[in-house]
Formats: sequence, structure tokens, C-alpha cells
Amino acid sequence: MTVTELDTAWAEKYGEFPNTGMNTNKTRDVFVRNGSAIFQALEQAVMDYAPGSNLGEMTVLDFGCGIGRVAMPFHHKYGRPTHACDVLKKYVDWLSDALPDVDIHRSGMEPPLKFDDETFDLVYSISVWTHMDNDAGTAWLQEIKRVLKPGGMALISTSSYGQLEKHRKHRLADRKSAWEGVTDEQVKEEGVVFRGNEFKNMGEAYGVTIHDPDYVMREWSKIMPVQETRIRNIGGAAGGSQDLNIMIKEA
Amino acid sequence: MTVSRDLTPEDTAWADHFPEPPRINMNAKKPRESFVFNGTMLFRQLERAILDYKPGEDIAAMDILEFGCGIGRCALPFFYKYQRPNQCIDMAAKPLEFLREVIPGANPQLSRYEPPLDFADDSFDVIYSISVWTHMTPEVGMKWLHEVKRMLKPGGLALLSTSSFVPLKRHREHPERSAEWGDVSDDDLRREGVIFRGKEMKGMGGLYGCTVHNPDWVAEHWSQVMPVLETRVNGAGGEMDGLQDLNIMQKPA
Repeated sequence: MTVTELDTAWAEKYGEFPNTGMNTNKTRDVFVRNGSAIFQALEQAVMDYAPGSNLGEMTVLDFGCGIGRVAMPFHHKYGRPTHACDVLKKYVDWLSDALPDVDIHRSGMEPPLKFDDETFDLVYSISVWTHMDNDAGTAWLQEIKRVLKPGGMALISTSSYGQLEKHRKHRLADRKSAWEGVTDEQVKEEGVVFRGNEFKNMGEAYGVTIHDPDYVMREWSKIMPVQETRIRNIGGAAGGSQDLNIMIKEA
Repeated sequence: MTVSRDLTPEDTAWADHFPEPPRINMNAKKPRESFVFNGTMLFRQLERAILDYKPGEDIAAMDILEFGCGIGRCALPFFYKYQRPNQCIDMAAKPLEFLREVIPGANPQLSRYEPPLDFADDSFDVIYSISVWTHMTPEVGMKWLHEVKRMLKPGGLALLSTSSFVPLKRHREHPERSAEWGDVSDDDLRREGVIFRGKEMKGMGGLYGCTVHNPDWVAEHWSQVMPVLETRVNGAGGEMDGLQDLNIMQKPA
């Protein structure tokens, strides 16, 4: 999404952000801009599908919060999310200090979450399914469904062809990109393509994932209906963009 | 909270404000309810897309063309709120008579089967079109895309709906309405990208029928005319009648 007028006031409120070592967070401006843009895209999706609802009263989980790129602008406007989790302890520690009234905990690489069934009105997750293999992705979808209330919404981002093109061209440090030679046709054929061990110190289970939007609509809907896919909606990772999948748990 | 798309009386006030259009959606079980619901939802999604890509700008001050207005399902709610579109066109003369009476400020005019239209280059901030590319042959559709680009101001937005898998399924499941779609599978659409089934229609000037587009195909081929910034699959609104995709394109500045 192209956003020309962003509310970036949150960035002043929450102090200095730690360097997470990722390209997109190298500069504060990019971090703040992306966080604001992603938050706006989420806010709009909620308003489209729950026009009369008050976000400030919802039970909201940020699944994969990182250092709060989205949670901070969200919190600034609505005092939400109520809960957040991430697999990295240092992120969880930092964000717990920045947002003391949010229940933030470290989650495992595999389900379950610590929450009861039907806890949340809204679960959002940005740049998370973009790093899991398909088995983990499916298991976590089931888990998100479990913790959502009936009629609750899940907003989950995926990467498709625009990001694939970027990955093909991108060389990681001194080695060739694992994505060289991965064609659009291959992704269309397989639906999901995962390459593990793309990041230092994260292990095999953490990598980069490309989803064909058509596959997501078809296969994820078997778990929870994908109401709409906004292809290239999320103006996140510098220069690229992700797709936003809007799912609603059946009432 | 419950996730609800229920419409408020405020959302549908336009329907009571204007006289009831003649011949509204004959296929629907509840024609008026369906007309009001779909019109409201379609308008809402168009409004949302415009505000997403032109944030902070005043829609009521834009030059807006509705391409294929029919009897005003979108134009009526749109005009009720913004006194826009200020131009609208359709190929059917009868509905235009109705619209000329109720929203003369939208300048309802007769269109043609193929381009060009009489509008000057760089005329519009927004051109929107719902359920139009869903009836054109791919060749005619491509010609009109170029025409839309010509008429848009630099930086202007085109919001064009297409049908993909949900409407295709509906076509398959309603052979009484569209027998020629019974054998078209989702995989056929994935393979071919765009499928048209139609026939020569009297007074139309060429083939008329139904068209389904694979969103990937649209992004790839339409972007060669004008960049498709975003595709909202199932996001055009109007779900009572089967969902369409909304393609958001922008003429380079």
C-alpha cells in the first residue's frame, strides 16, 4: 500500500529501538515507516470486516511481534495488542519494557500457545509465515484457529512473486542466494516453497517461504475461510511487499 | 466483538433517498435487498481503495468516471455521499434515462463497444469499473485498458473488477444461467489465465458474455499497460452475488 501521510508519532514515544541485525531495521526511518504502513493496512482490514467494532476493546494477539514494529503503532492508537509473542528472547525482553501493559511472552517454534481456546478477537501476524516451512505453517494455522473466538479474525501476511524476484537477486553475504533458479512456475506448481537456514543462528527451521496466493486461498481455507487476499497490500520489508490474508473463524 | 459486515441504516440511506431503479438484478431472489447490499458494499470498497492510495485527498473534488454504470448500483451510493462520479457511461440506453433523471450531475452518457471515448487525455483522477471486464473478450478488454490509461491523469487510479475462482464456481454451479461454463475447471483458469465464453449480441457491436481472470494473469499482463499496485482477491464487495477481485492500478506520474 502506498501511504503518503503516516502517523509516526509512536516512534517518539517508545524510545530508542535496538538494532535487530536485519536489513530493514538498519535505519530508524525505514523501521518507523514500515511499522506505520503495516499497522494502517491491518487497521483498515479490521474496519472493512468489522466496521462497527472498537479495536480498543478487542482481545488482540501479535503473533511474532519482534521488537514491536507493528505492536508499537497499534498500541499508540488503541492500547492494543493485549498480548504478543515471539521466539526470540531478546525481542520479548525489550518489548516487555517498552509496552509494560502488554502480556508478552516467548513462544516455541511449534504449537501450542499458552492461551485457552477462543481467547482472541483478532490475531495478526506479519512476516511470520514468510519464515516457516509448510508443516509448521499448517500447524500454527490450526493453533491460531484454536485461540480465536468464533467470528474472530486472523490477518496473516505471506510473500509471493514480488518477494521471490527480490530473493532471486539477493545474495546473502558471500554465498549464492538459495533462491537462484526458483521460478515463478515452480511456486505455482508447488504452492509453497521454503528454503531453510537462511539466517545465522536461527537453525534449519527458520528460513524464507514463498506462497502462491491462489494456493493460500485454496488450502488455508480448508482450515479457516480466507475471505480475501490483498496481494501486495503490505508495504513492509524495504522495497518489497507482502500479501495480506484475511481469515475469519466460523461462528 | 463479533466480526460483522452488517450494514447500518446510514450505510444504506442512499437507497431510500433515490427512487427505485427499473429492472434491478433479475437473477437475485430478493432483487431490491441484493441491489442495496451489493451497491453499498461495492461503493464502500471503492471508497476504501481510493482513500488507501490517495490518503487525505478530497474525493468530492476529484474528477471521477464510472465506466459501465448500469442502473447505478455503485453510482447512486457514490453520488449520494460525494456528488461523484461526475461522469458515467454505459452501453445500455434505458438505464441511462433513469440516471439522467436522478443524478444528472453524474452526466450519464452512452458508451461504445470499443474505444475511443470522447474524453480528453488526462481527464480523471479515478476511473472505476465494476462488472465490466467480467463481460468483455480479452482483446476488447485490453483495448479498453489502454483507453482508461489515456483518460487518467498522471498518478490517477483505475479500480477495475475482475472475476476469478469464486464467480467461476458459481458459473459452474448454475448451468441454467450459464451452461457453457459447466466444463471449465479452476485448473483450466490457472492454465489459461483468462477465459471468455460468449456470443454475438444484437445491438452490442460484438461478442458479449462472461469472462474470468486468474489474478496472477491480470497482474502480469495488465501491468504491461499500467502497474497493478494491488489485487484484492474477493475484495470488490457485493458478496451476495459472488465476489469479484478489485485490481488497483495507477498511471505513472
